[in-house]
Amino acid sequence: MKQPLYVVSGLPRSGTSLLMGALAAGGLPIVSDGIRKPDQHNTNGYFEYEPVKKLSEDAGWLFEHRGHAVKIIYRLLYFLPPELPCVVLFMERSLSEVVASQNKMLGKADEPGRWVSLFKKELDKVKRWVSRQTNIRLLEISHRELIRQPPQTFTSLTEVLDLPLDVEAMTATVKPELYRERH
Amino acid sequence: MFGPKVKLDAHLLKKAEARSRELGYSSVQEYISHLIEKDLNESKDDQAVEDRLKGLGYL
Repeated sequence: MKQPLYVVSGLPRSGTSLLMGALAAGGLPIVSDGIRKPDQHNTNGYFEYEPVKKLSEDAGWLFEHRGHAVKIIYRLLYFLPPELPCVVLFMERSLSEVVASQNKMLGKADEPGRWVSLFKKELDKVKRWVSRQTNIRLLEISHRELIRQPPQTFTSLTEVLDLPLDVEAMTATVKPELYRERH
Repeated sequence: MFGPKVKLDAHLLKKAEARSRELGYSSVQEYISHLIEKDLNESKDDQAVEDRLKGLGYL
């Protein structure tokens, strides 16, 4: 049986880079070009791939990466080809933490209440859509639990995915001190 | 209020009138205006989200 594409998704600043780094350390091949360099907001790197931003124009290349993990922001999940089996690993983080972290990255204290409400609507919408897709299996991963209990989270994930990943190496990538936005 | 007129299919208008009464609008005009305003606001929000995601480097 052909492997699915593993899609790491969620809101910006929900822990998608953290999960990508952990999967890579655990031995899952990832699709990343290293163009976006690590910075003070993501000291371990972003693990992104530029063509993802153009998925609305061309998503055919995803078929070549079955068995790999690729990071796709929640808003671009709508462009996943319906013929491609995908496991979407969706990072869940408190919306107030996400917005605070985004505001820090954007360098502005920008209407947190409004953004929490807008992103809640966005997440409801994309999850409703995902639930209707027969080619997508959705697994939600709690950012809080991942930070609190990395070995348990990764053990459970490898069991659910039935992948022989190195949980110890994955756990070593989690640095709780880097996650300052706790609400 | 007298402004520019918009044509609607008669069957759709009947349904809109019934729905506006059901929802407690004072007129079908008020109901349709509210729907349009709501959609325009959502479209503004949609653009704001897109701009924010671009600003964060994800689109």
